[in-house]
Amino acid sequence: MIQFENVTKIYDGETTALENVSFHIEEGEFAFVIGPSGAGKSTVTKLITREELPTEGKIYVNGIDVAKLRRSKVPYLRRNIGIVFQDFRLLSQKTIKENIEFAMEVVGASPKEIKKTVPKLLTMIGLSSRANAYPDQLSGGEQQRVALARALANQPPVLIADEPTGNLDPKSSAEIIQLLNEINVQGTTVLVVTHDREIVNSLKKRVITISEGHIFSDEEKGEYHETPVI
Amino acid sequence: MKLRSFSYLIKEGFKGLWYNRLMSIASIMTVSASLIVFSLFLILGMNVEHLIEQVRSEYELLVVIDESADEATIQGIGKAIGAMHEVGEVRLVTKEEGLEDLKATMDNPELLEGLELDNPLRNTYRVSLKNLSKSVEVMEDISLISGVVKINSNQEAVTALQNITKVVNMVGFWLFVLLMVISIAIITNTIRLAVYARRKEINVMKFIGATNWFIRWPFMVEGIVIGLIAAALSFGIVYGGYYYVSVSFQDLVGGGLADLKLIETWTIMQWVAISVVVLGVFSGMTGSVISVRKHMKV
Repeated sequence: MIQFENVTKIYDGETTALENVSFHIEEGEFAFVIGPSGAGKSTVTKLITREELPTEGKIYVNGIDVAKLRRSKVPYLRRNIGIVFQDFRLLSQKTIKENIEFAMEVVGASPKEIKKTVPKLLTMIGLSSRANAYPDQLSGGEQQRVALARALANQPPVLIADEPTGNLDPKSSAEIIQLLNEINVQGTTVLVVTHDREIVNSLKKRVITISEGHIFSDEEKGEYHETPVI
Repeated sequence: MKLRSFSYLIKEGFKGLWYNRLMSIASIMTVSASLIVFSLFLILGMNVEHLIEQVRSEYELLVVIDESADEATIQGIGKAIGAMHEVGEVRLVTKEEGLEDLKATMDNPELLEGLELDNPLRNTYRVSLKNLSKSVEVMEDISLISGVVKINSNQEAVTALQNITKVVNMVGFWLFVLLMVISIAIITNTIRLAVYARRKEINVMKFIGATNWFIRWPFMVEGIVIGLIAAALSFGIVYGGYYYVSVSFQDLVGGGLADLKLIETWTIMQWVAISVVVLGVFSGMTGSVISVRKHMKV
């Protein structure tokens, strides 16, 4: 589902963020990408969503050769990828319900589809009763759940979470991870970029550790590693 | 684009306009002002040309023939003038006819009683020209014919009007360019504020997979609506103003130009309407595209 083949990314011709990185995440898999700040984790997400282009190597997402994609086709790539950010990025002037609806309106879903899908998502994240609240009226954990629902609104085959628990307390973090796990069980490929030891160790899923732009380890049912400075 | 998306985008555009209303009103005012200035030049240019056209159709050379010329000489002069390349019509006005004409224009024709016996007027040819700009050459040629005493014309007036047209057209063109740039800049600035206020939304839309056109349209609608309202406003003001001026034009100029008329209000206002709408919409669209561009690169 997500494939990196000998990917190198150098910013501005001097800063090397990733060097010769290869990995393959299968359809339906759940994987963590971990590593210390500045290791190149965010570059991985940016390359998958084509916010950045690789300097060398190939990247495939759901069969699409990302680097070769024309600029005008990027929106269609992103419709295959649900994205959750550390800072939630909800629209504060819209209610929770409207935030989720908005994601569907943007890709041209019919009112019928929207009406059918949104309540289901609200139930899934356990916020049906607060559908008309505004993001500011919710806790961080609740806001992140809304962001998750929004990312899933268009039923993307892949979900990418970039530090999803970075701004949350341990209890909320656990809830988010639980949700991510459920989403994965229902068939969505999930990739979580994080440096949160607790959530990594709680799930025993695949762990890809990146350090200084290289893959340090890639383990099935892995745990959080402190990476030595090479 | 689906109809539903279309109505969504239009709705978002108007929302933005309202959200940003103080700035929207300010830019509608300024863009209107530019459009009014532009309209004034358009009207001025078209009317000067129209007036010249009227003067031209009435323009004639008055060729005065020597008193002693006999019938044959008079006929010969007429033929010679008629043979000239640039000459349109040639009409003989005998001195008797001239006197009648003169009487007809006078308030007290009885003052001219008795002049039939000792007519002080001369036989003349009224000569119209095919091309006004050649009138000097034609006058020279005619003056060479023997029996011609002198030629009268209102050449200076025509030349002056022609020069005015040239100047008005040139100033009008550069003013058009300048005002276009100003209007685009004003609208760009307004939309830029709207975009800035919604940059977070644009960012989210980009990550959800909205196409660039989907993101751009609401701002385009906003810009176009600003342009259209400004066009309507300026049109209303110019229309009212022109109607007033054209109705009172005769009183204003009076005198010898009393026969001249400005272009009909409705005729010229069609041109004004088309121009301000095209200008307004074009500046609105361009302004929006420019201001959104920066935020598209995610």
